[in-house]
Amino acid sequence: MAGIGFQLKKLFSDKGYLYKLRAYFFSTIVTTGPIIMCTCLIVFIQLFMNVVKLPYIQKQLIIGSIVYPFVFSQIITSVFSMVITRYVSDLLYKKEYNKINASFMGVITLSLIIGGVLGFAFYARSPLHIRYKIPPYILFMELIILWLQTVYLSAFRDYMRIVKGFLYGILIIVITIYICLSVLQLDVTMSILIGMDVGFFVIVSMLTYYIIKYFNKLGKDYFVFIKYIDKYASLIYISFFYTLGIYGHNFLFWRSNLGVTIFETYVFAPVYDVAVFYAFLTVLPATVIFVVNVETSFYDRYKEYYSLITTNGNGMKISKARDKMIYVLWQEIRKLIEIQFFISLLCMILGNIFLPYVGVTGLSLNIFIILSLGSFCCFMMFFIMLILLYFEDRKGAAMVISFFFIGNILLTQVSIRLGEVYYGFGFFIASILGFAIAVTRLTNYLNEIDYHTFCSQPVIARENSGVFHRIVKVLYKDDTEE
Amino acid sequence: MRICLITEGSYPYVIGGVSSWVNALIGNFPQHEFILYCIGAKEADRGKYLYDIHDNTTEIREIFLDEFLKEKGKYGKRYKINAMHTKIISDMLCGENIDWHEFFICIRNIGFKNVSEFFMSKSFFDIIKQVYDNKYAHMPFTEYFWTIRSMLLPLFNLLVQDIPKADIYHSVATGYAGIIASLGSALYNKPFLLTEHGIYSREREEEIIKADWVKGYLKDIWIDFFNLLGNCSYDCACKVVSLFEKNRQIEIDIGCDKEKTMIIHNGIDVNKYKDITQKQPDDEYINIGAIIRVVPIKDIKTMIEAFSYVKRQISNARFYIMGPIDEDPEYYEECQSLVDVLEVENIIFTGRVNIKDYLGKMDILVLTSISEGQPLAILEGLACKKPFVTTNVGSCKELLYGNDEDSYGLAGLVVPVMDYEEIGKAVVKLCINEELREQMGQNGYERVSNFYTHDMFIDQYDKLYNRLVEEWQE
Repeated sequence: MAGIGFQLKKLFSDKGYLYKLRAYFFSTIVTTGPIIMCTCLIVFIQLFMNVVKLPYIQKQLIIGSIVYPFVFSQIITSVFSMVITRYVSDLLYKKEYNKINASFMGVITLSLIIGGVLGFAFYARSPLHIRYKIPPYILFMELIILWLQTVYLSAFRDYMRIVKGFLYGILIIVITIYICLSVLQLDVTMSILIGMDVGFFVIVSMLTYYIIKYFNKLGKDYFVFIKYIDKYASLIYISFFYTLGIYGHNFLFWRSNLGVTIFETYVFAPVYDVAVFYAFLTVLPATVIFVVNVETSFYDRYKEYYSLITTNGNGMKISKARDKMIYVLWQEIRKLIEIQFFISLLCMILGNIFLPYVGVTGLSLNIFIILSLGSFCCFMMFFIMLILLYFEDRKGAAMVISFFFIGNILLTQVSIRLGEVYYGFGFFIASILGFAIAVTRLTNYLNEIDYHTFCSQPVIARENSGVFHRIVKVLYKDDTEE
Repeated sequence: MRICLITEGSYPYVIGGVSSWVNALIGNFPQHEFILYCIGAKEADRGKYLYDIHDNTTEIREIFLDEFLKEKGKYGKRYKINAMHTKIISDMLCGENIDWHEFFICIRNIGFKNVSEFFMSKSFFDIIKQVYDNKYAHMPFTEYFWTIRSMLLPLFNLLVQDIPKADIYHSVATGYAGIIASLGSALYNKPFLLTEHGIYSREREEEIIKADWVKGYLKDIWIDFFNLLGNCSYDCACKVVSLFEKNRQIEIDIGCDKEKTMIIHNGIDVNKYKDITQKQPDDEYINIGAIIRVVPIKDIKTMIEAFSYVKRQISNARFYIMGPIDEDPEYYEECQSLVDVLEVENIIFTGRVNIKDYLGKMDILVLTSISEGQPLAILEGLACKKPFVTTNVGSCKELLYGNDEDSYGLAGLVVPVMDYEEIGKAVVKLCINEELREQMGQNGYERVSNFYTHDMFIDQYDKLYNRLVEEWQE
């Protein structure tokens, strides 16, 4: 199981511009492939709807039927995504592969139950015809599974598998839509919705098959992973509130005077949402750079430091490795900030020039500019938070996310009150605040990294206990664990 | 007078020499009030007393080293630690110029209740790191760090306990018990009396050298630590009583002020053994016995091998092992299978019995311990006029051969530790010479009646208690 870090390192070890270019291209595909493809898919559907001259209300219905499942499936899966990542990587470390498939089934079941109930409640109060409710509901369930699968695949770093899955899926979507329209003679709305369902069904099936086959064995302890909730409750908090923070400002704008309601079901703020969509796209390069840098230069230093600690290095060696690690880390962070800041500026300028051609104008364009800066800060905050998690500083990460989340909600509210000129400033200021707090926390934490590494461990190790441990014990009569 | 008597790993949870001693001491001072402070190993033992508690014991404080392990602590707490605290604690970690009184006050002044939390604090980490850099920089830091924490956890936990008020703090060992006594003495400005049965730091040292849970280079740290605990008691006690001369010398050698030392022998009430049942004339066996707990430190295995040797020459020998077999069941099993392998007959494990029912019937008594203080078993045997074969540990030699002051002659034979052949030879020698047995038995009886009587023991402690309290008030 060659990890992405290993593959990337091979790529980057060749000198020469052409090789570097190839390396970055590959990394981009691997790290942001799915997002780019989904974006392309949405742009394609938009264009397609324009070409067939779909009425406005139908267009909005389709957008709602796609965007809502996308957004809310992410929020739901964010509850488990970090905890399960942790659980799977621990299992990989302990080589307990048979538990991986079981937990995969378990977490999907649990998320589908939660999502299923909430989705049902959502559509139950909607006046839409049932044939417009079922396809997005299915899509919603499929996406819940899909996001959890990407967690598994990225835990064992098989990003290529994800990219391929998406590629096939999107192809199937296009083909299905064509068949629905020309062979089955369905209307455009239904065709697109059915196309999405079929396409994502193919992706989900392929990835499921792949994951199950990869570990072959299927244990019975489906829900043992919930034990991790006791110890890593903060991870649930962090990933849930981060995701909620990312979308929170949108929700507030949906309720503002920019909000539009479709069939008493879907609410949007198209002017704001579009700006958010493009603003987030501007920071994708940072994701690539982060993954590449963290996986290559920083991770090696990080491993060296911790392996000296576990394999009994003396104080001097530990200090040296620590200083080197911190030096490399800050260097990479600075590089990341510099490059992404330049890219963001470039994107803002380019956006100003080209976005009007795809129908983004006026207020939306202004919001796009400020949200681009906001996204820049938000992503930097996110990356630093991930670094904090690398160092097991869950408390610090939770603190950062709390500030970001609460700040985002309060300040967005304020910006809505203050009027159009201030739209987007809520998210921007909250992100800057989060970013600043994250940097401060990381600085302080790194200054005392030895202390944290040694003293975060209890003086005497003891069995973890908590509600979920007890549930697992009852379920599996399990008394051998940890 | 309120006497706070501090025990560690003995009374009232474990049957044995020290426990019997404590039991006798308390029982014979009805005029004094005793507060027992018992340090045990396992919390499971709480309230499980193997002795009847005397009426003059007004309070029993129990503390168990494993209960400290349950304490949960949050990490990241801050404490007010100034440069002086830092210096005192790091001096203690280095084992250098420790003023114990100052150290106790310092630890209690920091004002933490939860030791785990303190150990997980930045302040404490910085101190450990500093000591490490100065003194142990060649050692793997992680191991040093964990060793220090697990080493200090019980100690610091004791330091923050409430100490009952008393007029005298009397500890029956150095070690953790000595720490409590030193602390009580420092806090309430009262005298600390130490009675050392064995030599605590030596015993721990032997344990650690043998232990496989401590890595080589960490052994020194552990040994230093227990020496430190021992020295705390020697520094803080105003009188250090040992049971016999050899131990007194060791104490002086390892750092106890000579002026503080003195000897008070164990004592026994000889009259209690006057009327015990004697051997029947028609008993054709030669009865050899051992009053002993079946545990490794008593080296029962060597005893069995020695008896096997004896049995080959004296076919009518019979061997009684008289004492509890449930303390270390595994070891008992091993002893049983050794008996089977050697195919020796006439070995009888009696289990826990009333010694008086058996003692009279014995012809010879043996003791093969690897380590001893002043064994009560020998005093009991001598009181019954029985000759002994013992290994050369603790005060065995002094008891059997006498010292410069007495001229009662031999009361048995002293042999090297773990040498079953020598032990066997000595036993055989006694087996075939009844006259010698009787002579030695008589010698021993004389010695015990004149030097090791119960009354002398009580009298000396009575005087000592009174003197200490008086001197202290002046």
